[in-house]
Amino acid sequence: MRVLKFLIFLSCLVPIMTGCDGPANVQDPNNSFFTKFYGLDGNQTGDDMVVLADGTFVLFGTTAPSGQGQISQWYFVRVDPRGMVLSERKFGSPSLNETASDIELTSDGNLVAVGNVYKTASDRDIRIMTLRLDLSPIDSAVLPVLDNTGVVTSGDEEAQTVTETTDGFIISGSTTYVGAKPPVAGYTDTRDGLNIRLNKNLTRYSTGGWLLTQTYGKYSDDITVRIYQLPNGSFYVFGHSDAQAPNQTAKNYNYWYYSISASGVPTNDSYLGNQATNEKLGAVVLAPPQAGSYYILSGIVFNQSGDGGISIVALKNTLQFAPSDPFFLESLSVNLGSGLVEATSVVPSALGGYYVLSNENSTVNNQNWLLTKVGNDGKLSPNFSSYPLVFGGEGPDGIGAIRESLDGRIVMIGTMRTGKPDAGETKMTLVKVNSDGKFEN
Amino acid sequence: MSRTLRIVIAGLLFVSCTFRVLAQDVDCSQALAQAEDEFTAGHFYAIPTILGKCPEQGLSQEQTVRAYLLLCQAYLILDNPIAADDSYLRLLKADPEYVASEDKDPIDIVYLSKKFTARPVFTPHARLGLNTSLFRSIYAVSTEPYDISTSGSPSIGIQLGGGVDWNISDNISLCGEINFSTKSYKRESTGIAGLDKQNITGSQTWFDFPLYVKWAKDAGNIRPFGYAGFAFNYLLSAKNEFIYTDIKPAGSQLVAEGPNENVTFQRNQLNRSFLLGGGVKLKKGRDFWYVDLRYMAGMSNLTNVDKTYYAQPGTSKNPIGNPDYIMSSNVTKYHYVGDLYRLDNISLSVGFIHPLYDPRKVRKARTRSVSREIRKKEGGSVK
Repeated sequence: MRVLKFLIFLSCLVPIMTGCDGPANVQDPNNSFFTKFYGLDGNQTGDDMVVLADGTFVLFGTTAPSGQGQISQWYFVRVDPRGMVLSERKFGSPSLNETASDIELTSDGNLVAVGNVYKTASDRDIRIMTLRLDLSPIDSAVLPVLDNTGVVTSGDEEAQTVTETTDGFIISGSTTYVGAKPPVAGYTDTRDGLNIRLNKNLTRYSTGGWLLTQTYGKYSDDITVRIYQLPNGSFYVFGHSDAQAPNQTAKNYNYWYYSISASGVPTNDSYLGNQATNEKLGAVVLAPPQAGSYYILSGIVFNQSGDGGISIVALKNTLQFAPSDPFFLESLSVNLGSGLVEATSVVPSALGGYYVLSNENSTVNNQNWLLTKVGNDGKLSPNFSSYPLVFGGEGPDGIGAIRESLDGRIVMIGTMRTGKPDAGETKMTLVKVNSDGKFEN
Repeated sequence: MSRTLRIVIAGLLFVSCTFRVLAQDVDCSQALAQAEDEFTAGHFYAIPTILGKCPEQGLSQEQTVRAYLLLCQAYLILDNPIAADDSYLRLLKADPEYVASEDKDPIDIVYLSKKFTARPVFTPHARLGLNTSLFRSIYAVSTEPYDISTSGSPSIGIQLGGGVDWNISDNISLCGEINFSTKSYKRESTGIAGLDKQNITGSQTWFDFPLYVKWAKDAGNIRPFGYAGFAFNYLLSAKNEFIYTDIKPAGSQLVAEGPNENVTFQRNQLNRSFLLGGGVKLKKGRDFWYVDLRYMAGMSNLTNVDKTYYAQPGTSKNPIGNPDYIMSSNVTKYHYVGDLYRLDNISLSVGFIHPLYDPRKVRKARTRSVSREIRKKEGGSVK
């Protein structure tokens, strides 16, 4: 009888024991989250990406073979939702280094990308390229800044973003070609912001005052980061500047926004920020209509000792260029450390609120990515209120951009150093995590 | 008393005792021979008296068996079944492996033997040996967005432990074991980021708890056995040794390596396995040595999928990130994210079995076949 009981017990155990873990009953994590490094030999960077309607991603960065003096070229990679490479292409001059800045999906279902080409070590021009989703090129152009007489300058341009307009594109960024302006005591006219408007065929837009407005700024350091065209044909421009802001008495960087009329006349310079801190804009995104269609600005706020923090601003959709413009202006309670590469990226979440990606350098010489989330009110979301999430290795890493995939997961592109932490190759890196920012289903 | 005198007296006592024992042996051997003669002569009543206490002392095992067999037969003839049973039980205590057979024993002894067994209820055993593990990937999880080539090579571990067989019948046992084992595997991935190479040696320590049903031959000096069953396995620790070699097209190499990393927290520590095995037992006196070859197929995914990208909580120096969700530096340093996998194990063990013989009367004697044989010999009908 005892034996019988034991056998019954054993037979009860069998079903528990016989379930073998395999593809039939275990979920494939590759469908939900991953970290992928792109690029073969050499160093690659990840700078921006777009999410396509079929769930695939186009990644944009640079690649350079290993070895000293090797040329860096643009690097496009189209990957499936699991991060596996579908196709990849390199573009660029065989003798000039190129850097990548921004890629956008255009209304005709193609892509437009901007970056820089190094004419010399201190003279960068802007490169813009349109390409199809299969990564075949349509057109490209190299754009130096021209002076008032249409002559190519030796200014050092840095492209930030490209935005599609009704009839072409407009590029933001900065140039060291600042022209001649009346000096302001205590200030240096380091850079002007860029507003380079182009036709669809990538030629310069010459109507109205646009050729003159391609650079704009005060006798200060001025950078434009993102430009939006309004339905009436005018533009809102967002950036940062260390020009003296109204109601401030000391030189410091503030968020800077202004408008450009349809005919290319800039006006309405406005500033947001604290006199005791330096606000530097990293990214701007338009919130969805259900979230108020605000302009969401994310940037780094540097305090007097050089430590960085994250700042989030929501500006109303119709700007008055007045103190009433911000819907909220929040500084998040996180110390990113000093010596930061000042970059942020922000994306609205389908679940509400905004994901913000930035660099953090809280441990010296080990810059990582930092992910946090704010609600529609600009306050930290509950899941991120205690801690942000940090991604990266022992070497220095840098962010590119953050997006939300079609399945509601977070995808982040950037650059991570792999292999030996002090000497390994840098790789274009794509990280996909769940809506809580975790490598979990 | 002088010292010399004491030594002489002690020597005499020793010699006296030795001769006495020898004399007793000689006496009991003579008594056994006399008892056998008396039995042949039909003088059954005298046999217990002749043998006296000899079966308990002063006879070899073989002589003891003969003596008890003689007593059994005598008591059966004298119609004293209780004494016959007692004698057979004593016989089994003297030789638990004794099996009465019609070839060498009278049929009434064979009949009597069916009422008894010396089969151990429990048989403890201990084992020690070597093993190798087979990595069974469920899903390849990698930092690489391209197809890469991964291969494994054998690595040796050890196991030691013990168990108990619960003997259901002469051939069938239910068995349980507790084993400690070290298991390891080696994996090499090539074609990472072009020409790079990643080498991983996984080293784990386990407690294994196999439960299985075993069949074993119950006679002879060499006894084959085989078994099948299940095992619970508890992972005590898991460490990985990583080497990442960045191989440049020109041939130079940049190697990233470091101390072994504790990856226990990235593992599911409870595993289930099924097992198959077999071997041979070699009889040595009342005990056995055995050789056992076992295949233990892991049934559980050993990767804790929600932890595989993360560093062990509390080990990161990063002061601002969520300490429970800091990305493991292995991801970047070694391009490593663990596959979801099962771990199979093949082991070869040698062991020692010490049967706890338990001579006893069985509840239900299986005497039908012997009865039939007796009736046949007596010329009766057979049904």
